[in-house]
Amino acid sequence: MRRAWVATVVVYTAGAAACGGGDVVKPRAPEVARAVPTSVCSPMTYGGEGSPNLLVPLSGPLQNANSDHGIQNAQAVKLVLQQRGWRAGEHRVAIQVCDESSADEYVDLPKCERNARAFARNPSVVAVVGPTFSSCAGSMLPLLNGAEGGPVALAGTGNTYLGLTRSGPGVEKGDPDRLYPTGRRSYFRTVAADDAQAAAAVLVARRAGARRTFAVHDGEAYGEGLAGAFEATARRAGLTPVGTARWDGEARGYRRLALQIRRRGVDAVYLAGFVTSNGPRLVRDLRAGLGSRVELMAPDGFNQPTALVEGAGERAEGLTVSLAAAPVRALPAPGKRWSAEFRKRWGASPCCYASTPDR
Amino acid sequence: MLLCGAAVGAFLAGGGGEGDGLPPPSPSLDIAANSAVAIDVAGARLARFALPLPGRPTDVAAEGDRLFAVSIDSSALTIVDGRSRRLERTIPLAMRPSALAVSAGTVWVADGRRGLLVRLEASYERIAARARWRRPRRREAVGLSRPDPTAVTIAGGAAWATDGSTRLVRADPSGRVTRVPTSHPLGGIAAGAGALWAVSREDAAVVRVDPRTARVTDEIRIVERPDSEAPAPIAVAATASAVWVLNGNTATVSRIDARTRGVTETIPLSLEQSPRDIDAGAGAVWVSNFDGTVTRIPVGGGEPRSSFLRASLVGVAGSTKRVWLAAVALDQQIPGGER
Repeated sequence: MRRAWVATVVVYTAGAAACGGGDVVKPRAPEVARAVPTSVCSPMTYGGEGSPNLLVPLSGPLQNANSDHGIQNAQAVKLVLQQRGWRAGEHRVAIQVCDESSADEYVDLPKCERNARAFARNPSVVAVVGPTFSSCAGSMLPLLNGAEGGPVALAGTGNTYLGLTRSGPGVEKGDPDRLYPTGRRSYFRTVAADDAQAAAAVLVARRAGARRTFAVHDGEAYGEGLAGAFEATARRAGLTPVGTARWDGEARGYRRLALQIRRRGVDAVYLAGFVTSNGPRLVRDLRAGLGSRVELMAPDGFNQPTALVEGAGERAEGLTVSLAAAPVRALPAPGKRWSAEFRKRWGASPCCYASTPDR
Repeated sequence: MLLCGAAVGAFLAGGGGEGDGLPPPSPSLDIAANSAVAIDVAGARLARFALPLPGRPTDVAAEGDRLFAVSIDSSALTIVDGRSRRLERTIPLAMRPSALAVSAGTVWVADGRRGLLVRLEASYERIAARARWRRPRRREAVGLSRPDPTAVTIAGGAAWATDGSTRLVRADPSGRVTRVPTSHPLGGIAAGAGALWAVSREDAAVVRVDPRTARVTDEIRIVERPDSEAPAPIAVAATASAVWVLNGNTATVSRIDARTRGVTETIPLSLEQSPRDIDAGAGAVWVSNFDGTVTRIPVGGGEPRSSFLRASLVGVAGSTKRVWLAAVALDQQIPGGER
């Protein structure tokens, strides 16, 4: 592996060793790091002595919904680098923050591909932190893995799609092998995969006394994968999955879908997808059509409480949303200490993917 | 209502930091979520105070020493007196306010979802006129990932609004509505330099309208071929001789000479600051950034400088005397997860 070896030191102090085994080859980085020349990246940030010789770009959404993730992940990496004097061993490390969203889209896959090509071409780049979205990781991985001189490591910050690392229910055909053209793994994630999220939802449903479940997805890889994992896990848990359906994110409403689900005698529904796929309306119409006794559950794609309450009003009550990351209060002592540092430095607690259990 | 605090801070060159590479820690000012933050510009330093708003601010406007803010969750128009640093009044609104404008004590508030403009006199807590128009068909709530195209300004005694369609909305003081057709879907508007300036994110263009004739006089392209890596206008401000267009995708400000009506300068900001809004005030142009920084751009040229306020800033409003910012909570939260 040409460049991945330094990634472990740079950002995530533990757990990062899983970034892939294999040979360690010295990078052929220039003496002074070169910035990635693209209009969608910020200038390099470096606060150490002299000039940086290595560059770690961060990919995150910096526009519109979900920009919290991009901003907080960048703040987290900067804080860690600053705490370490902007050094990784003998190397001086800079960060460059790049956008994976656009003014119109919460994730822009062509932009992800172009960014990945720019990272792969730049010999200063030894690893990439991010992206936030699984679909963006899926676009970047083959290009970074096949980089000239060896794979560039990717440390996914919010990627929960199971097929990035292994096969399983809901995983697209060919994944994950197609993502690693060299045959060598060059990726790790810092959050739990979707099978864990789906299993958590099944547990919630079972504890609520549900027997018959239904999954709806928004047609995206993330949603389809989650719906598949939910169905498989529900079956293993002794529940009866009675169907799945796709919800159209462009639709004006979902009363007909609610009626279709109601006719199946369902008592738990899993909303596998993003809140940005007309999620508040979906919640509103399902709650109205199914009543308050049916359990509604959703994955981290629905973690926008303000938007949900604005769009669904009181019908958002009772919706259970899972997260693939631990809240600060559940972190071990070093994680709590670091989170306190983050809050002191940046004025807000690190949410969701900006902190990871340190064990 | 008493102030949350007072403090001073300094502007940093560029979008990033200096010294240790990060912006310096903010002075101890407690900016609650959903707040109005005032900046008094005095040389290179800031003196500021913050006041909580009744709900999440969707837009702010300033006139003289006063701030006007509209908020949702608890729909209201809030007026803050900058001199006494106190809340002057809160007027409940039976609408979902998405934008507002103020001029000579007259306030227009727009509800883009319903296609509604209301006129209020700031001295009286009542609606003086209502103007309705047929809003464009938009997918409800999908727009969470896109900026709200609703914007309003005041010129020639009338309110002018954009709603994402190609037709400007003009409402006269009585509430009578006329539409002004243009060639671009519009999502932001400002009045200044003798004209109205509306921006199109989709077409990366600025439309100049003469408020006296209600006719389009010029169409100014920010880029020839819009795409996701090219500037996409998301907000606009006008000063006496220039128009300042805040661009998404590239985090830049395009300066348009109001006389020649061409782009004369493209000012780079920092993409990682996630710029949200732009306005002119206190002799400069200001950009509010979602990462908690506010950026000052000198009108006469010079490097933009940023200051870190430790809050998510979504709106900015300037007057000759003062600059105000609107702060919100982060969207992504783990309820109760901070302890």
